[in-house]
Amino acid sequence: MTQKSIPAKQPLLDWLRRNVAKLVVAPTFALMIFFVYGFIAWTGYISLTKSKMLPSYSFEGFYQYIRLWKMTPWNVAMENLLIFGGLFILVSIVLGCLLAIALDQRVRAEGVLRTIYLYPMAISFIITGTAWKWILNPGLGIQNTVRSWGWESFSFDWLINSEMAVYTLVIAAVWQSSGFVMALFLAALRGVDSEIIKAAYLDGASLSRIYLVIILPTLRPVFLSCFFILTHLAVKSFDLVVALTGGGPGYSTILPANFMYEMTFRRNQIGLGAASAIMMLATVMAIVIPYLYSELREKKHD
Amino acid sequence: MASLSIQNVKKSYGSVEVLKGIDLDLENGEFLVLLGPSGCGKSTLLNMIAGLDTITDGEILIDQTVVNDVHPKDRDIAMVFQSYALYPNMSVARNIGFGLEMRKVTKEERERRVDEAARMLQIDHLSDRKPAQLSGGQRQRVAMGRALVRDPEIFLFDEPLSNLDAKLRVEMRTEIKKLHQRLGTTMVYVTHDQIEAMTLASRIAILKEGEVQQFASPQEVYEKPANMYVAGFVGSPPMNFVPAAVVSENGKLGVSIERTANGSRGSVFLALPEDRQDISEWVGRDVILGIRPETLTHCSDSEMSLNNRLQAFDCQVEVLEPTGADTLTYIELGGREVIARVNPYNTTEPGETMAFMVDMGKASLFDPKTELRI
Repeated sequence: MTQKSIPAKQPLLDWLRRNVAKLVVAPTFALMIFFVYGFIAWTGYISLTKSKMLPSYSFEGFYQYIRLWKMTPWNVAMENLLIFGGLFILVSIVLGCLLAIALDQRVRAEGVLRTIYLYPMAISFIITGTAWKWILNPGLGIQNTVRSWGWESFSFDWLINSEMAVYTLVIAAVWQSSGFVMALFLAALRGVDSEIIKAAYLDGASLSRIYLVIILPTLRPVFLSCFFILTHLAVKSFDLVVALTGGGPGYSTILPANFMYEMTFRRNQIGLGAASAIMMLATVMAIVIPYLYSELREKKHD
Repeated sequence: MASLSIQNVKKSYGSVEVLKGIDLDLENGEFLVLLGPSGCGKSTLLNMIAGLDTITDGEILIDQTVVNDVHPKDRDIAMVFQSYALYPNMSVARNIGFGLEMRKVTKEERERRVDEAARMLQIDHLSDRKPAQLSGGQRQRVAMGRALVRDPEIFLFDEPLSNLDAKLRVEMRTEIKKLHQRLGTTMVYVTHDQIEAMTLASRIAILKEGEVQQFASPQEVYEKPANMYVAGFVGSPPMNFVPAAVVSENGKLGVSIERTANGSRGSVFLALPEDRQDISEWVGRDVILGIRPETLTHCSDSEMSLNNRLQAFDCQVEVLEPTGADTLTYIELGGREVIARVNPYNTTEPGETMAFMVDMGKASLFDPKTELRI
């Protein structure tokens, strides 16, 4: 008798109970669709118009993209991204990995060291940039200090040298991120079965051999995670440039994000800014899509 | 093949003493099982033999050479780990051959030996697979292959079967036994499973809290346990412990036990055999009588007349647990629950009184204070 009456009595409540999960997720989902993907689509459309200070909606094809790639600052920005991104990712991973391996040797002060290495990650890029600006400033920082010790001819002026200034970005960014990479690697190293290391010892492998041949190959997922986290950090880098070099000397250290901001909000070139933003998105996609594709395919095989 | 000698070996971590002076001597080709509960120090001892753990005090000798400060790879030992410890990124063949690779054995020689070991363990069809693609039993075989291919002086096993299911465990146990018989290499095997210890060992060392309780052949450990701990640890179901008093009756020494029969409480006298009459100083004192379940069974007159060490008594049956071959019969002796192994066709109903006989020649007596064998 009750079998029938319960669903019949409160159909609304029953419907609610069944769909509560969907209802809870729906608002965030709608907001995300609108603000993230909606605006991506809008930016994509604007990049195909001749919008200046205000958006115009007359379709003009790839006019802005052709203009963009003819501009020297944009080409400098993309070149800088290649140098900065490449070095930043490579050095952070290598350094982070080495630090993690060093800490994995049961160092006594491990807790303290781990915190010291990890803390830079908690600082915003603005602070990092400002601090490194002072450190690298020839009149204030390292150069001045070394000269005051008596080495008068010492010169470390990368910050004001348009050839080398982009490498100061690498120094500051590596300082900030390698501790985070270390934390990821350390966690993964702790997950390695200690019996594997013992077995390799008995097999006669040296410590460097054990890490190179046995342990690091098993950390492939960590390498990939680090690579993607650092890549997106590199592509969206904006504040570090603003704080550390201000894009200078000249425009020698600008990155695509700085270029986009400059064009969109300072020079009333919304269309050009949108085109550069879409190019940045394309850069990230070019890296992420093959990764997602390979990951999803691997899942199917298991 | 090599002999192994462990002399007064101690291990402490800070103020915690894990091993309190272990002495073990092993002949060429023996199979030693280190048996004990978790935390008794058996794996630590094995790691020390392997050289993976430092020795706080004492000496370990392989073939009369002190190896305390010899690097693990130079001790000529191979070890099989509990988690198998296979290198996850290498194929089965490379896993097995890695030790040879590190020892700079030529490629042809390496391939020949890997192939030989793989065929011996029936895993030659798996040589291109990665460990993740193997079942537990196959991984176990690869781990053994890795040890085997090195042709070491001593094999060490650290609870190698504990990650396998029951059926596979029995299979692999036999496999290890066969391997030992074929190779004749000295082996040291750590386990907490007393059946593994009994079936594999030529000698068992039972450890508890960092001390060797008994070091003897499986049969001796089973029949003449050195103390109540060993007696209770080895054998399934475990040995029955019955509080008893040593008394002299009709010029013979024996034990007196309280029990209930036909609804009334009373004591029964069980005489000790001729060769156990040497305990006159214990007369009038309490002891613990240890009886294995299979030496306690239903009374049979024909057997009683053949063997004068058998002693009969009657007792009320409490619970019956049929296992097929035997029925485990629970009775109460001296206030303790006691298990007897009875032929299923000779049991009575619970609550009724039944005649039992016990082989006093196979019984053990323990001092209730020190828990040592008398």
